[in-house]
Amino acid sequence: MSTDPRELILFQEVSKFYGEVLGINRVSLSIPPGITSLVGPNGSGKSTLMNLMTGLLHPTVGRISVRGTATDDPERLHRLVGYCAQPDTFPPAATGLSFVAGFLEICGLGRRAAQLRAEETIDQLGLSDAAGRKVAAYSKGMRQRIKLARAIAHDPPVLVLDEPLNGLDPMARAEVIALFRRWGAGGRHLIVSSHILHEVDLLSDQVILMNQGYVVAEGDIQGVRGEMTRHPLQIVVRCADPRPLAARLIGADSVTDLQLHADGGGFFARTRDPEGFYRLVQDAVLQEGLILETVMPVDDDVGAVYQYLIGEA
Amino acid sequence: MSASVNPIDRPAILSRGRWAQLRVLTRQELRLRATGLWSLPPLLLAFGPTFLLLFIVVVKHLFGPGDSAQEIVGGLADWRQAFAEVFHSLMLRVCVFFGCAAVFLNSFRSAVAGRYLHYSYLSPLRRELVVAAKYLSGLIFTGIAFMLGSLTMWTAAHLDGPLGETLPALFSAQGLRLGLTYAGISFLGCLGYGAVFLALGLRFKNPIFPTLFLMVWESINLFLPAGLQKLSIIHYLQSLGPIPAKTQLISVVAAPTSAPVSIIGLLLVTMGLLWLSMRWARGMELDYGSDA
Ligand SMILES: Nc1ncnc2c1ncn2[C@@H]1O[C@H](COP(=O)(O)OP(=O)(O)OP(=O)(O)O)[C@@H](O)[C@H]1O
Ligand SMILES: [Mg+2]
Repeated sequence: MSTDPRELILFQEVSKFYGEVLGINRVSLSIPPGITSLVGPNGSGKSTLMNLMTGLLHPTVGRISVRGTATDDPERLHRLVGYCAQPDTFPPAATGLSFVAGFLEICGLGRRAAQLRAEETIDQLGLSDAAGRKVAAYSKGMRQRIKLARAIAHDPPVLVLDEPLNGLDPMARAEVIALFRRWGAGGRHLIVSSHILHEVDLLSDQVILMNQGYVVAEGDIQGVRGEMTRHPLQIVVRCADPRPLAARLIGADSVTDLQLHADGGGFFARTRDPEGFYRLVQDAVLQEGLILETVMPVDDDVGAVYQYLIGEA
Repeated sequence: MSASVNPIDRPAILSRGRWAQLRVLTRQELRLRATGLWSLPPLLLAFGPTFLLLFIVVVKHLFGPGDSAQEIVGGLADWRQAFAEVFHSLMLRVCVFFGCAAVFLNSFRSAVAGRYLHYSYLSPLRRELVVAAKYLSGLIFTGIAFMLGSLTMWTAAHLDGPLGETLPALFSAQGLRLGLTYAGISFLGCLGYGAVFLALGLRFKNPIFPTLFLMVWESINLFLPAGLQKLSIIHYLQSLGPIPAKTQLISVVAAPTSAPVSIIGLLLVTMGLLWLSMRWARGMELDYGSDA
């Protein structure tokens, strides 16, 4: 593994306090290129870590460098880094296109070139049809994707994404994950946070587990996968007529258990292979023209995995 | 979604000079200012005095046919003296002051309240440029509005009285020069107050109290010892007035500062405040609170 600081994201004994409140405490990390996921329950410090890495926050103590660049030099840092931050807000009156193209103009492209490249990036995320519309009128998943478009538009070698899968339907989720895979190849950094371990573990080269401001485990963690097989992911599906879908899923390998909701408007399914599960749901949707209201992991069983890991780490 | 575009194959974006970045940013800020209704209050303030004068002219015309301007205030000279008083007490102390407060206090605050400032801070540019662009766009907006407002106010004032006499006076070289001087003073007012309010909006989560303090400070200005009078924006703006505003208040009025010194002083204060704002922006942390 390389130890050249120009290829690493380095945290040296970094602490961040919000007044008395602990954000993160004594974090030392050396993150190599590839896909790294940052996993922890709400309030564990994931966003704090990412905001520090991108210069939005300054460490109370310690030093951070991103591929050899200090985080207090935004002019250089943000050539290297694309950051999809957690807030789901946008400049007033922005359209998808103006939002991305405006950023590219600041990066250095002329108006026309910025426009073209923005269109190209937006297309990559499957939002072409909505590019000219106001972002304020986008759905949650579309907003998530337009933020992503802006973060990747200038092809930064480091991409930092705070809960990028939130609000995406299974199809968009699969497409975005495919994009991550492409992106994470070729010596780039991709850092993704999630509070759902199952979502990101399979696509990551390494996992950083956080709890209450501390990094509790780091690296290619043995046992995470095994533990996750013992605690399959529970997914809630809501739709008007769930029976045909449930019937298709119950026979599939990736589904270990399925329970219809009492009101007949959905079901819980357990799976050890969320991506396979989402693919199945997506096929069913396409073939049978189902309209889904919700497909979402239920987090409470993740607690069991944390308990195990945090207890042992 | 097309997988065909491999981002790695795209040409790298060359960095752009800071001036070009400033131009792009300022244009974007101006566009942002043009959205929504919030630019209405400053515009009302800029053209309020004009409408007030027009209203007075019309009322006098309708209800007091015998009441010509001369009967009230005498000749043109006296009458322009009256304009100077109204310009200083209404246009500068109220309209420019609050117009700049409305525009510049919100430069950063609205971006923080709307939670979109991070997009600027996550761009490959120095934060100093964000400050400069917000200031410039505000200055372009208020500068144009208040210069036009001052010119229309000057014009409206000449509609009072016998037009055969006032219109030639308005379009005489001296009349035009005076009008442009007032417009210039309004611009300098926007320059100075803009920098003050930009800094206040950056520094204070709730800038109401600093603004009130500033308002009181600028309005009790006349009662202060001559030395302290010079520590205000209004002193220099007043010093630049082509016709010194006479004040009826019993107080020691600091001798007006000469025009070049006033202008240089205002520019220096503005630059100092901008420098402070830039420092604050650099050190600023952005996470919109813990509920994000
Ligand atoms: N501005 C702030 N002021 C005070 N405390 C804060 C602030 N921002 C974050 N915190 C605290 O810091 C800790 C870490 O928060 P952080 O937002 O980094 O967690 P997270 O892992 O991103 O959580 P989530 O999954 O909810 O996004 C929490 O205890 C939080 O309450
Ligand atoms: Mg977070």
